[in-house]
Amino acid sequence: MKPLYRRLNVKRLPNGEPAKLYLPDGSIEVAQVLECWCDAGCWWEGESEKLFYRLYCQEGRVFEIFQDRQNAQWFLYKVYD
Amino acid sequence: MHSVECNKISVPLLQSEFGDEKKMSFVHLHTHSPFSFLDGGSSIEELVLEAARLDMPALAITDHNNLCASVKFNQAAAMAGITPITGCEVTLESGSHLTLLARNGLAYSSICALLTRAHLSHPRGQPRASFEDLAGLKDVIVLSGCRRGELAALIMKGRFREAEQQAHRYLDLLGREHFFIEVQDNLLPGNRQLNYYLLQLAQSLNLEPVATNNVHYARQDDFIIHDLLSCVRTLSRVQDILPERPLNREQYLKSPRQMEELFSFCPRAAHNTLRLARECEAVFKEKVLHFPEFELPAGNPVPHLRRLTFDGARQRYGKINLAVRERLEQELHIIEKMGFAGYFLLVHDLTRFARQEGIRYAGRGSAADSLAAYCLYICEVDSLERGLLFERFMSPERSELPDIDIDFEARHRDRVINYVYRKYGTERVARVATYNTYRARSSIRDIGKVLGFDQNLLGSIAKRLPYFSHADNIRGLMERLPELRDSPLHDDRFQVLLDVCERIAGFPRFLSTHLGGVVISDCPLTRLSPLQHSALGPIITQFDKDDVEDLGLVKLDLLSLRTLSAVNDTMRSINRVKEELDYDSIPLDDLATYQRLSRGETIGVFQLESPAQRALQARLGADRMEDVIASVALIRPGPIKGNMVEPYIARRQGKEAISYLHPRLEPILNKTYGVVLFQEQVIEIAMAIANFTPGEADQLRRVMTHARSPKAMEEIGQRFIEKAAASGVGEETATAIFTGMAGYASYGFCEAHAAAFATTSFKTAYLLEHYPGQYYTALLNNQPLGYYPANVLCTEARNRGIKILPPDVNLSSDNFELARTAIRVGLKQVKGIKRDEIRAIVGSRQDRPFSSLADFMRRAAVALDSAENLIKCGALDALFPNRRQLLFQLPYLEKRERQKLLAFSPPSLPGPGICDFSSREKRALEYAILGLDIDEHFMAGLRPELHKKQIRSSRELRTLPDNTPVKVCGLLLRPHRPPTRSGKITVFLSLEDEFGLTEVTVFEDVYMMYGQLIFAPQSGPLLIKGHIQRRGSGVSVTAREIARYGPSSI
Repeated sequence: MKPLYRRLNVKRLPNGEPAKLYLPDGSIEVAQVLECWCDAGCWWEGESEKLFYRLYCQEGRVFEIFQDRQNAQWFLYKVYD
Repeated sequence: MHSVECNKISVPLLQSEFGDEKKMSFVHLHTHSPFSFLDGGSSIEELVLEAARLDMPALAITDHNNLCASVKFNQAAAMAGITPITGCEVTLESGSHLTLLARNGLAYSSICALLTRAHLSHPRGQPRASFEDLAGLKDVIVLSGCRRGELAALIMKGRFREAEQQAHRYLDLLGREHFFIEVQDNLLPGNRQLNYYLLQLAQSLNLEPVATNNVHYARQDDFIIHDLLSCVRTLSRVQDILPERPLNREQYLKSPRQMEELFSFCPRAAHNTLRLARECEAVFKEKVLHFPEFELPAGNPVPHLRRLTFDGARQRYGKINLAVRERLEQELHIIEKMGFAGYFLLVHDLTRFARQEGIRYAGRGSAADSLAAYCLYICEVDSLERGLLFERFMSPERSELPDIDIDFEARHRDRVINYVYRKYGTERVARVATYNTYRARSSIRDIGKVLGFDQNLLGSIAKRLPYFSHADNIRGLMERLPELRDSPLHDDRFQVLLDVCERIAGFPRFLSTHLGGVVISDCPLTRLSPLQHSALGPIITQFDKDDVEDLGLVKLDLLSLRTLSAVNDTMRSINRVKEELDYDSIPLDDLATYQRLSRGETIGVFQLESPAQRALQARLGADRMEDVIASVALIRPGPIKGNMVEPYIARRQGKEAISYLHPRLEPILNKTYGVVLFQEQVIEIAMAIANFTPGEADQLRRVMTHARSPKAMEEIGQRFIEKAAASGVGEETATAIFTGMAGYASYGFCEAHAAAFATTSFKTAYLLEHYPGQYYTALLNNQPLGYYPANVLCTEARNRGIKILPPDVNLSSDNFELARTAIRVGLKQVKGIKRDEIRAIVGSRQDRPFSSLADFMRRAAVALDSAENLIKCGALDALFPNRRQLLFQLPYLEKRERQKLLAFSPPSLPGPGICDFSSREKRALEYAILGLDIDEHFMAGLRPELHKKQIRSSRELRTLPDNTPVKVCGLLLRPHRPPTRSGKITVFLSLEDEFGLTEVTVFEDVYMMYGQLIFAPQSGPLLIKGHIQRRGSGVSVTAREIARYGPSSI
């Protein structure tokens, strides 16, 4: 599976977890956060830390997204068919 | 799903157990310190201070399979006002982890026992506890562990049924009140699923969950330190992706609020940490002394000690006079009162064993302040005759335990230790551990390698750093030291490396064995410390010398001293062929020996051979043992820094008046000409001037010599002045005495220790003076020993008319041997040669000597490399004088031997006509292979050229007047920068030539210009321009310019 690294907008809950994803073909509600993890990346090369979420969304679709902790940008990482 | 369902399984909180629920708090029960050895990124102090800053009431340290941090952690926690919870993360035989926490001292002991079994029943470095051994834990809280815990690992593999079965096994073995399910949320992939199932498991078995963060560093920023140390641990580079490395920076001491938020899906898990913390208490509450018991038929050691002491006194003195009796009674009373009778008997027994076995020994340290120790033949210093104070060694008013240090001849020291094991049992005896910690060089090498820097570059950078420099002072050294001025460390690319070095300064790298520390306990040691194998084999405690003392264990320092082996070798050599010389009866007033000392010709003499000592001897003009004792004490960093040397010499030589601030000081200070040189004198002054009790006086000595806080100094100073006034000494005088004493005493040396060393110093000087052949041979056979390398000893020997003969395959044994007025180099000096090969050479020539290289290769059958080195250093010169031709023949001969076996026709040898090496080439080869110049010193070959350039030899310098401008040239030896009073850097170095050593002083301004030539890795001779400085009979050169010597040098 190839990582996508596509920027996207995310609506968040008060606890910071994603609630809704804004994809190019429309928005999608998050039904459940399946997993959350953090990866420091190649810090020695200046790479910033990333916070990952595996999300169970409407219509049974599963997404992995991450937030770059340095600039707070959200990216689409993986989509499970 | 996750959070909703997790919340469903929450169990009602037991409100009463958690107190004020509104106030957030949390206790970290799973924390790794640097004693997890390369798996902890913050110091114990940082962890404790951070926990206290976060208002946590307690903190647990749980290092991998050890309790090394416990003593220091308990002390740091007490200082910070939090409860220390002692524990560990143990590895089971399955490789899985469990977190253990001691509720009390009993629990601590059971963890010690478990860890000991885990270590000793498995190969070194792979401790494993069996599941069954967990049954031996008492009052221990067992958490199910991190992701490497058995339950978590099974769940992550989807083997839920097995996880439940295993949880049942733990529950059945440990009980519900001791076993808890550990849950962590440090943002690793799969955590939510894992925690969900762990909590389900807890609920189904009615077990309590406990939240931890598997902490590896205090603050988030320290993640990098932890990650890099993990790379060092796993021998990987920072670019390598390994599962053992941390994925993120979440394993820090999170605040109570952060932990409660993380565990909002199961608040009970967070709250349970407080409950468990309240069940735990500090495991080292009161210091209990664990004196070893000396087994006696009658049981009570006191009468036995008394009998032995007085028997010894009769042997020492013939008749026991009143002074001896009173002193011994006083000492025995204190020894008995403090419960040390058994300890004295034990040490006496060790020395008795050594004497019986003919193992030479010498008691050192403050034990020589004891007359009982003298009468028991533990040491050779008569403390009564010297007026030494017993209270410096032992006092009921002192909390510190006295210890007895004994030097044994190096070769047989382990026999004495084995005797201790046999006598007291392996369960009560262990060697003391020491921690190898990060210093400047090791941190640059280890972290630099992980960061991907070239290892050769790192090696050369590290070598330039002073040997003992601290890892957190590298930048300071780069600013200060000229040899680091052009160090690559100034480049931007090294800044991260330097930052990390600063952060890991003093972190332990691994556990090793203390040089001589042995503990003997009254109870099985595993109640007090886990035991493990050391790299060298002996079983060691997990604590260092300071920690074992804090645990109440009495330590013996059974040190190995090569000098004593050299003495024994010398004595055997003398008595074998010449006469009966009794080492113990060597006259301490021998004139020729004092004359040698006064000339400063003391290379090879124990404790008196360094340049500073030789310079002191040449000025002091020693003519009695008091001078030798003072010498041993004077050339120490303290007295030099405290400017005690010059006043002492001036007064000793009558160039400065000796005055005393009060008449009562005269009897105390007259032997050191009014200078406070010894720690014992501080005690005596406090007693004589301020009527301090011996214990109070020793406390004053300790405040002064340990550079305690100004407040402590002020308090004890005030008491001194008040009590002095009460004893009739005016305030002004008392203040002046106290100030003067404080100024000197912080540098004072223990007189008993100096006296014990000085005896050996004088006797080795005597051997050097009267039996140089035997003594030099013994020194060469016990290398490394002393201040100088073997080649310097060979130069000294040559200058005293003793020839150095090359190794010879037909004549040399393994060791150096004295043959009339020559020393034959032993075969073991040949680089790369193996013991088996030496045995084969010596064995093969028993029937008949080797007649040729071919004969040698056929019968001795040494490896090609060894044979090559033997040829190069001249060991076959007697068989055939052309070394180059032999080297050419060697491979043919070896091939021929092989082909003979295969029945091929042997190849013919290279014929004659091959030119031999020049004599200069031969000398270079000899030095490269042996580390020695055989016929003559390397510098002798340069002498005609040096002479033309008016460059003086060390011999010529001795005849020149003060201030003469000179040029000198020689091989650089032992450059060093001792501390100075002014704080300025002064470098002392020696230049070695064929006549001996030239001592050179390089002051800071010159050092700043040429430091890179002195301390940077170098080869070849140095040329130094400067002027002669004469002090007493000593000569040195003060440097003005320094250059590397080459043919084009002036």
